[in-house]
Order: sequence, then structure tokens, then C-alpha cells
Amino acid sequence: MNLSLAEKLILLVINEATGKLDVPDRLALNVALGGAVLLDLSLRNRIDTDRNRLWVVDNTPTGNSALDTILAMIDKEDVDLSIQNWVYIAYKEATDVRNRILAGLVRKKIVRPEVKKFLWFFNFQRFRPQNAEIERETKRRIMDVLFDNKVPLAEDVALVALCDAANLFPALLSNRQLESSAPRIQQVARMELITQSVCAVIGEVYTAMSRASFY
Amino acid sequence: MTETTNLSGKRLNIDADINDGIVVAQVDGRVDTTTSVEFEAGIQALFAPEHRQVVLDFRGVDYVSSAGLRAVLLLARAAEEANCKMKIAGMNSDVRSIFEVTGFQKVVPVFDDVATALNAGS
Repeated sequence: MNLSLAEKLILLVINEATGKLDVPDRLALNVALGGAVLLDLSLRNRIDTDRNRLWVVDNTPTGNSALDTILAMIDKEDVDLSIQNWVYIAYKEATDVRNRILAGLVRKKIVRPEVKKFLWFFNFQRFRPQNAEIERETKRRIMDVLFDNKVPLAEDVALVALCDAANLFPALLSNRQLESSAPRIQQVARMELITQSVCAVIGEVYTAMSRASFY
Repeated sequence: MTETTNLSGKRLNIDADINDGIVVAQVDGRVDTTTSVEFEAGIQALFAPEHRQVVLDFRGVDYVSSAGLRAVLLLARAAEEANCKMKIAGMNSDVRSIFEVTGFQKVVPVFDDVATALNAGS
């Protein structure tokens, strides 16, 4: 099944046992989700980027509502903004993007929604993966990039870079794997201009938050 | 034997000189979303078993976008699978800087000019 990067990213953080989104760094994941949507649009030839700007080359909807919402926003903008601007704007839409992605995964029967009750009146939604093969295949491709010296495919580069930006590798790899693959992760992560901006935005938001708490 | 192939497009032109298993492909124009498919197809056609080395002469390339970089990545993988050495020579400073920022020069060897690329061996 051909899933978007944003869908794969969400699947990687769903805890199979609890059905919860197991997120080590929620802010980083939200910024990475925004970046994932931009990367998906880029891989589908809807947008293109260089070091200074991001622009629409084809405004035909992709059929994926999470991607099409952001595509429409970019298309509506009169001037070409930088990648960093768009990562930040997409990050602001992260809750909506996440909900749309989860709804899409439910529709595709990749996860099953469950409602859990807490103290009789609080409802929590959980998502049980229904197809472990998809998650296994996603992880296998990540491992291939990290531990095989072959030139990686663009989509795999993007996935590795997003996992790095969202700080997911400590949960995906053993300590030994993490240590041995660190140089490769660094090499692959910088190959995508969009994920470079994702990391910059994460840094900026954290800096702004620490300044705000200081004052 | 020298043979010249012209794979012309509207915004991209590729001329290939093939000599004794070594291909020098002169690329002119922009490599972006509008030309990346044509660029990929044109260069990939040169990865034949009898071509052990393909040097992309980028002197005429004035711009490479993210889509262009992805095309280069795909070609690097295709060259690897075809057991063919792909190199890039003669990039202008803007194109070179995008290769440096993204670390692409570690995926595809980059040289100042075609002669240096050819002398670097296969």
C-alpha cells in the first residue's frame, strides 16, 4: 500500500500495545509532520524548492486531504515564501493534519479507532494498528538506508530525515544501532532541504519558548 | 569511436560524447520539476554495460532545485546498480553550493572540470 510520509510518520509513533501516540517530543513531531506534508507534495511534483523559496508547480489536488489543505494554502499565497516559512505555517496546522491523517488511516483500515474512558466521563481515542506488515516494511526501509551503503531512494531519505528531526530514532533503534548509524543519519538527514528547515524551525520554536518562559 | 546523442528538450539539452566506454554528457539548462524527468531519462539511457564511466558536464547548468537533486540521487542509484561510475564536473558556484549544503558531493563525486574528472579514473 502506498502511504504518504506523513502517514508513515504517524504509524511509527503509534504504540502497538496501548494504541497511544508515543511521542518523545510533541513539538518536534508536529513540526516534522508539517515538513512531511511539504515533502509529500514535493515528491508528488506539486511543489518545488530551492534554498530560498518554495513554490507550486502543479495545483492539482492529490486526493489526500491533509496534503491538499496545505497545497491550497501555498497556491493561494501571492508571493513565494521560504521553505522555513512554510514549515512554520504547516506546523501551525499540525493538529488538523494529524487528525486528517488518522482519519485517512482509519478509512484505509490500517488502524482501528477505539474510545477509552477515564473516570467515567473523559473519553480518549486510541488507534490499534491493523496491519503490522506496513509498519515492519517502513522500519525495514529505514534500516536499509542506515545500514546498507547503497545510494538511498528520495522517499527513504525523506523518511530518515523526518525521523531524525522528530527525534524518533532512540525509540526505533537499540543504543548500539544508534551509535553505529549516527554518521549515516547525519549524512542522510541533510540531503533534504525541507527537513533542514524542519530542524531550523524546531530550534527556533524552542528558543522562542525558552525566551517566553524567561520573561 | 565517438558518437554524439542529442536528447533535446525545451529547457534542457543533453549532448553525449561516447568514447571507448567513457561517456561525457554535456547538460545545458535548468534541472527542476519541469525538466527532471527528461534529465533522468536522458542520462539513465547512457548507463549501458559497455559504459564504465559517465561524466556529467554541468558547465551549462545554471540552476538545480530540490526536484533536480532528487533526479541526481536517482541517477546515482541507477549508476550504482548498472556498475557504472557517475561523476559531475564544472558546476557553477550556485549549483555547487546546493550540493555542498545537502552533502550530495558525498553521493556523487564532483570535479572542477571534465578533464580532472576523467583523470580521476574510473
